[in-house]
Amino acid sequence: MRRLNNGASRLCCVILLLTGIGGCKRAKHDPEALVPEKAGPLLSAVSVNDPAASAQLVRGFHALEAGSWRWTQKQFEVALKPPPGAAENGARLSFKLNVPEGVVGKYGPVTLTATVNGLMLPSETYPKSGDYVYAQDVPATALKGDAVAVQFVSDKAIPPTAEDQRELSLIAVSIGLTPK
Amino acid sequence: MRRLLYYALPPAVCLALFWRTLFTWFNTDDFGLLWLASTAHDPSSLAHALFHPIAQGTVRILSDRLFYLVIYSLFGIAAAPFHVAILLTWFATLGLASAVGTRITGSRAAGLVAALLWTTSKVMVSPLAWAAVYEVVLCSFFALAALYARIRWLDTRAPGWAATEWILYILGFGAQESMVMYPVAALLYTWAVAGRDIRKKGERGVFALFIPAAVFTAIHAFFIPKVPSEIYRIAVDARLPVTLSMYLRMAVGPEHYASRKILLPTLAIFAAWRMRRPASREFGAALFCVGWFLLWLVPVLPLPNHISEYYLTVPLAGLAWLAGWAAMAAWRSGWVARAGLGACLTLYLVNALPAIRNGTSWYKEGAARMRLAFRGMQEAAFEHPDTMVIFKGVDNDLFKMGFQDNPFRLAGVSQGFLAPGTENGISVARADLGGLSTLTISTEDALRAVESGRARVLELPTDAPARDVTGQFEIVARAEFLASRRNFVDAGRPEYSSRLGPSWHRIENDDRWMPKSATLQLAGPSSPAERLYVTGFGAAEALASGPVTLHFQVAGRDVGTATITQPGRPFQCDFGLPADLTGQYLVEVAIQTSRTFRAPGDGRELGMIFGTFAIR
Repeated sequence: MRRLNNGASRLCCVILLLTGIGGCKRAKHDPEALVPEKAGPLLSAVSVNDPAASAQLVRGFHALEAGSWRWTQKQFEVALKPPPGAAENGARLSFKLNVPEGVVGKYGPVTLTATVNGLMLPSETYPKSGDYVYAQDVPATALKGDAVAVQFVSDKAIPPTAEDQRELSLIAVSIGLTPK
Repeated sequence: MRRLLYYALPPAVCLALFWRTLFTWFNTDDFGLLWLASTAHDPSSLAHALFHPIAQGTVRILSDRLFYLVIYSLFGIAAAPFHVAILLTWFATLGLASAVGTRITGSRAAGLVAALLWTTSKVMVSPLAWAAVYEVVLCSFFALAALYARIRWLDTRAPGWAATEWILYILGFGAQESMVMYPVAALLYTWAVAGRDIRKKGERGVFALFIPAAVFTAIHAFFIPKVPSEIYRIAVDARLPVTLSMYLRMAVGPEHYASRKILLPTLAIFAAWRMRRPASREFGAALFCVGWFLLWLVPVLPLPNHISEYYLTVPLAGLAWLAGWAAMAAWRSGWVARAGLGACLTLYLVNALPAIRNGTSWYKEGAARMRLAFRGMQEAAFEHPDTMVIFKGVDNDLFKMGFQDNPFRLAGVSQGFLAPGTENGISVARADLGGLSTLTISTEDALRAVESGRARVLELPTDAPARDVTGQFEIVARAEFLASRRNFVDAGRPEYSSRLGPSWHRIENDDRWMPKSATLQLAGPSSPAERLYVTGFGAAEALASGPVTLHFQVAGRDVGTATITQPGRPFQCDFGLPADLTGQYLVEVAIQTSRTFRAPGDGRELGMIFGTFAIR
């Protein structure tokens, strides 16, 4: 038994020696692996292809396509900085979008509703595929603070399939608040 | 020279098709195995890393444990050495496949074609591109090497070959559990191909091979604990033939592969033709090829919920030998048969080669994204030790590459979460790995973690290094948080400051003093039944001269008063609201105290301490 234990110990030592060659594989400092945050305020208008604004695309946006647009889910949300004077005068919300034929052709007209800080804005309905701008005035009462959450809800989407596991509703290009 | 070319051709073809695997990074199960390897620092942790059952009770000491332990120890978190080791093992296996195929079919050319067909199968994408399934490559190697040793022993009766077979066979248990089928393969070869009478004394030794298989099966079945899981649930029922049928179809080509309907029947006809004379050697050889394919599938057939292409790696050698044999038979049977052979090979390769290119590209590109994410995690952990990381920009493709396999701890990150809302776009989470629950965090919890410096937020672009977006996330999350809690204000928390009027004093001990009067904004009631609820603290100094009366107005209308009498105690009060305020986006709440005071050394006018306001 003593010999067996010695043998087992030796085996352990050999393996440990081998595993100890690399020692503890602590991560090396690699500044290029992480782009540091650039200090700066949020933007009042964001293009979905702007890397500086990607943190403002809160949820419901898929990956950037063709370097210029993103598919959205049925519900998506963006955070925007109220433009100067918005807390007193209000602002205008503009959303440049495309209603794809694959959605409107199969499921019918698409109705889009926006909510700014919990305040629901009028809906717009798009009966045909094509480029549109959802544009509505936002009252000053909904534009307090450093940033406002703007939620959109579309009533139509292509559900996930085996080939594409994403929910696909609209094509987003840019969203912004402009002073009135 | 010809011998060198003979054995070098299949590896060369393999390398030409699977070169991307050398540049493929880690994914999914790799992270768990690398983590296990990284935990071995002393005899106790080494024993745990080598022998502790993982997943569904597997203890693959060679293919899972030592493979990761040794290469990780030598090279760290570098994928290329793993893939070099996998390819070298596979090249050796292809050499063995040629040699064994030669013995089975009686044709060196058939053995070579078999090895070429095996390594041009789409089935080989995962085994060669994904280090975590090295088990099937190593099991193929041990199974074929042990069989080759048996063949040499049957030829020479040299004890060395018998010992070699036993050593390789026993080592095979460290590669994969399927090695328990090797004794059946050895028995079948000895009887059907070598034509030996297995009842004779000199041949009965093959039965001894069943003893280790029985012991291993017993240990695995009775002594190794298993985690119940639907995906690995064993089901011996009517689904067995369905599962077998699926594996048969997968074996000859990719999904939607029309030539399946031609290649599989062609092979079946060839096998039946060779087996037409039961007493012949050809019968035994064809039986062995078909038997090899079926018997190595036996251990995975009762897993109808876990049908995986890579399980076909070892069985596929049987079909490859049969196909190589058929190819050479056709070649020797005139121009018509040769034309048929050419058509079959073209059908096979036209479908298999693009599938291999797409499959290896998928692994390479997906793992490259995971590598960018992992490097970002490592750097975040380096710059901010002991913080958790919240990830933005995770989609289904990236998630599938390992977010459920806890790559975070390997990167030095204490915990990893998806940015709130990301989970809604993830449809590929596996329930048996815990689903999304451990990766989901609420906006409020994420905001608190970021505010307190306990979390960093990383944006993960598709093809660029991770970006730290913690500051922006904090602003955005606060806006989102406030938008979702418009009917509530906690005066003692900074994120609600924008809802408070200008007269409030600073936060102290998670509360705020108000002066003589103060205002705040809340969403109006959503129904006439909703009321205004207020909490605060009756500071002893404020009540030193007797009770204080608080007067509340909402939207300029009196809603009631509350008299605070008990010093040093929290208070709460609530008030009904005018019905016509229902549905208003915003109402202003105004409070006035009946008395104020000034504390010594503090010039402020102090009225009362408040905590929360809510309309609900």
